[in-house]
Amino acid sequence: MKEINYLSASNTEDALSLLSGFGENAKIIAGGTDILVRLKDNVIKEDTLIDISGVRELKGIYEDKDIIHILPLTTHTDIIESPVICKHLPILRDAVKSIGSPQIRNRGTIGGNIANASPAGDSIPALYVLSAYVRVKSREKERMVSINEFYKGPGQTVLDSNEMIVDIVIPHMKEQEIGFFRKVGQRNAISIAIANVAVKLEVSGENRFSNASVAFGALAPTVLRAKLIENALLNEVCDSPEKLLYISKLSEREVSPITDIRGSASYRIEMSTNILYEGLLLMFLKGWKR
Amino acid sequence: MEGFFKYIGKSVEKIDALALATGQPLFTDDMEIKNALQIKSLYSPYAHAIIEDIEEEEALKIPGVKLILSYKNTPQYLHTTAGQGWPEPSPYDTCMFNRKVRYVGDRVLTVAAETEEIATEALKHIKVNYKILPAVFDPEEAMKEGAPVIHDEEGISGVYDARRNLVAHIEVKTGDIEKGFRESDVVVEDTFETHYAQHCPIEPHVTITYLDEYGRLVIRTSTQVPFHVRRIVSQVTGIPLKDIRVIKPRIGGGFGVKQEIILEEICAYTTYLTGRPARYLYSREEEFISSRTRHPMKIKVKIGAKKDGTFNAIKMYALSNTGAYGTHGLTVASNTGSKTLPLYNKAENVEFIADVVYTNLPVAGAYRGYGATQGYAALEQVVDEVAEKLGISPIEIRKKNHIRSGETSPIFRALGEGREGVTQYIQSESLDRLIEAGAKEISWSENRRKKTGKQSKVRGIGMAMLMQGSGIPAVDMGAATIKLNEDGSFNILYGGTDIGTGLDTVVAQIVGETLGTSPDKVIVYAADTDITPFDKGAYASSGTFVSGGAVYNAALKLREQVFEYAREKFNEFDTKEFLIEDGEVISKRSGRRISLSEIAYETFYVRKHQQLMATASFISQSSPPPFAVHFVEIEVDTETGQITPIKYVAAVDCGIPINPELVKGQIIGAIVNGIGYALTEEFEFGKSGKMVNPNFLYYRIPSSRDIPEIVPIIIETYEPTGAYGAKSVAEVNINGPIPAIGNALYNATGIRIHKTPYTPEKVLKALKDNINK
Ligand SMILES: Cc1cc2nc3c(=O)[nH]c(=O)nc-3n(C[C@H](O)[C@H](O)[C@H](O)COP(=O)(O)OP(=O)(O)OC[C@H]3O[C@@H](n4cnc5c(N)ncnc54)[C@H](O)[C@@H]3O)c2cc1C
Repeated sequence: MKEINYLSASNTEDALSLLSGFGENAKIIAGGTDILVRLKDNVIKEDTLIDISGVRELKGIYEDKDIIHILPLTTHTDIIESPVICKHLPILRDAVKSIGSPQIRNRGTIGGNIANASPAGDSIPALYVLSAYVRVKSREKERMVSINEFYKGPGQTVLDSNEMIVDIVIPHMKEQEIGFFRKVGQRNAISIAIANVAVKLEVSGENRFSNASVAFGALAPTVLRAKLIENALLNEVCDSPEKLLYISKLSEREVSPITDIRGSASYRIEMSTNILYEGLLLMFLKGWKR
Repeated sequence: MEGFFKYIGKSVEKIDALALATGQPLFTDDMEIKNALQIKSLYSPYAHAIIEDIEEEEALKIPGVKLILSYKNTPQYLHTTAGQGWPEPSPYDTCMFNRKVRYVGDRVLTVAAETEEIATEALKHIKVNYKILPAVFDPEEAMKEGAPVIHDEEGISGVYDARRNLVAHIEVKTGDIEKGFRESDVVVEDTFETHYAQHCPIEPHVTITYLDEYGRLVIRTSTQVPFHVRRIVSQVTGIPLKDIRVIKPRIGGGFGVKQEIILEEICAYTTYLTGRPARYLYSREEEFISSRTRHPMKIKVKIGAKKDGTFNAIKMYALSNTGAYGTHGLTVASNTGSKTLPLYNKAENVEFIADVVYTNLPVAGAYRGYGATQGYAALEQVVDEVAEKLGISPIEIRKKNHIRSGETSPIFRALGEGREGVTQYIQSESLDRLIEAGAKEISWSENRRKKTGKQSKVRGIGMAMLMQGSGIPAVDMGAATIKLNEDGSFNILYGGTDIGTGLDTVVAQIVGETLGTSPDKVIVYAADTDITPFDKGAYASSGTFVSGGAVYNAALKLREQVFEYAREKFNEFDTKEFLIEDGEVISKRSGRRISLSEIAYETFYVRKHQQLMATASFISQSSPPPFAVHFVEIEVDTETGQITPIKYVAAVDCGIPINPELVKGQIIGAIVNGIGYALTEEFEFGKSGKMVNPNFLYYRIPSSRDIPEIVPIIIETYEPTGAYGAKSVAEVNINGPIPAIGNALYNATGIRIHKTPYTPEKVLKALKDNINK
């Protein structure tokens, strides 16, 4: 492990001015569950860490009418234990529940999961279908970025070196909106996704939807929206398992996974179909209700 | 045995439990030694190469770098790292450092420096020039004419045919195998392959060495074989045996991998050359890439049976991959036959053939189950296939064919540990009861039919029948010394090696029972080559049976001395009606009594003037097998291919369980170990032969959420050759998960997977191939 400069920020302003001071040479550390692993593997190019874990004002969940704000230092455990999330964003809750182990969920933050930009980050597909926005701030300016536009590639985001995430903004799921998150890993805990999927549907009539969002993770360089599938869900009457299977099979045309230590490309493609189908089928059997 | 014994069969608390739970500094690396040099190693990036030159001048200039060891400046003494009794049945095919490297991860050199950081930094400044040689990874290829010869060095011994990379060839036949198949009504043949795995003890290998006040070399090490460490370190380094003391502290798990001597000799030699204490600790990554693994095997089993289900002929061929060095090559392969085939002794015609082959892959060694695990993976699935073909249930076919009390198998004599074995008759066995108890607990008859759970999930049940041994007969010796103190307590000094199993507690119970004393008045001191008598160490399921047997013999001898003293005191003719209980010797005839404490005081200070103490050894002419019957219910997700074990039942006969709670720990531990091996653990190799997943994120030992309900059922038998009727329990249960889950998978889905582990990807592919068929 290389020697590294460690600075601790006491508030947001402090963090931002340190960030703009050190620029390319500095990296934020929140829960550290990604950074420390990378540090040990000697793949961190920056030589300064700015610890924001003590910045109280960046932690917590609050509601503003029908908008939910999750501050970046909120841990996965905080999210799972939040009644607000349980009620209004169950898809996110399920996604976050699948992350790592209790220790990792106690330490890891949602801001870290987003900024780390792993194609297999489990909260990300959920945030995609929930139409989340990320509020990004530097000492000079502040901007809102749709999560759909946040990623440039594996490990790459639109964040400038002097910017950090200060808020994650997500609208409530509506009454008639349903959805799910599913993941396949290699064991039941501490397991990085071979494939994952988040789905949100707005039910408009019998087996019909007026809105459909489907996002896959670990199946392409970034999390991806499955547009063909979304269109099919909008245009078809989803009234039989056969139809759901047909729609799910479209995933073969959407995803472009690689073969790596977790699974082969062909297995991953198959998984994209199967986890989507299993999830849709379950919803269908429940009569498209939550 | 309830009520019959006072301390045997009781779950006495582990004597080290409190100290361990409160974090006392008990493990090897808990002791901080001032001024210790820190050792780090450099490994070969090539699977097969000759080291042409090592440029180390730059590194030696770094302040704090003390010593660089390589083949250039260490004794080139051929030996084996196996850590077995002498003479070892493993080939002498390695030196402390070799000029030729034979797998990615082979150790090239070590640096000893003032700090770990300096040592690690120094490694980066050393340049090694290699002449790369063609490598061979496939054992079948390795045996072919023209394959790269991995061990072409002068002077190696114990290798069957080095030119063909053949470490060992075993051939054992009884009856007339071909006639046996001809006279069978059905014949089934199938081939199964098992894979590389690592033991993953939570404490990795670690050794600390220093010179004591008299200049003798002390080796404090995380080992299973302290006495073999002393012998082999002396052999390899040339340091006289009398100048070496090996101390085994508490150990955080071994499972076979700490039978190997892979750190001690280098750490010792570093201290020997520098006079400085030294510390050598493996990281998890090193544990994977450079310590030892399980022998992967390809096993073909052919069984011929009569219409009624009786086996007529069994043929087994095992091709074992020992990797770059031959440690445990011969004996593991022997056990693949000798620990499996006797279970089905009704077959009169038996043939076992094995080839053990070098490849340029990581080194295999001893691993819990020791070849039997691989053998059962194949055998127990073929038994199910025979049953199906005959239309008999898996239970019936096993009941019909298993060995019974009073019976023997010619295999016992024909196949030993690298030499001929010994004839033995089974004296304790209750397989029918094990089968029935297990089948009842899993609800075999109700659940066996395919039961569809939710949607894409299907369920199935499978079973497997297993045995192992207790120690190596006529080879393994253990010894113990026991002495009486003034308060009636006892010191026990023995060489037995508790590596977390609870052996020291078991031994205290044996002494307590024999000498009428509560186990908490037995002070156990173990495994210190300066102080305790010899013991072969912890392997081959020998702890309770052999080391415990030695302690039992010593306790019996001391009891005779105590009785004799009491007889003189009571003025009686003999000790026939003497009892010893609650710290007192009592004559039932006269009613006179004397406490152990009084005896000690009197013999120390008043009369006799003598220390009552005894030393005894134990060797067994047989290796009584523990038996187990496993049942598992699994759920298969036909969408993802994932297998989830739902409930696992293990009915086990280990003789008398001296400490039932510890026995359960061994059963459950072995099953968890085996489930990981069956489902998720796997070495993945890159093209160059490099292991690419040397960490717990991608080498997937089970997490607590991957473990089903495990129900151990202990069925007591009495083994007359074991102390208080005990046999072994440590290994046998790791043999079950692969075949039991394999059979359950077949029951659930109609597919058999011929290559472990049963990963989702493989299961899904097999399911699809099955539909397309
Ligand atoms: C054993 C283990 C298992 C894991 N399992 C999973 C899993 O199942 N699923 C999964 O998705 N992840 C998993 N992870 C990854 C990790 O835990 C998560 O990504 C976690 O959410 C990261 O949060 P953190 O606060 O620890 O991030 P850190 O390590 O502190 O930071 C991660 C990255 O985000 C940046 N960052 C952090 N906060 C901000 C901010 N406010 N603004 C801008 N940039 C920021 C950092 O600079 C860094 O680049 C696992 C990790 C480990 C070690």
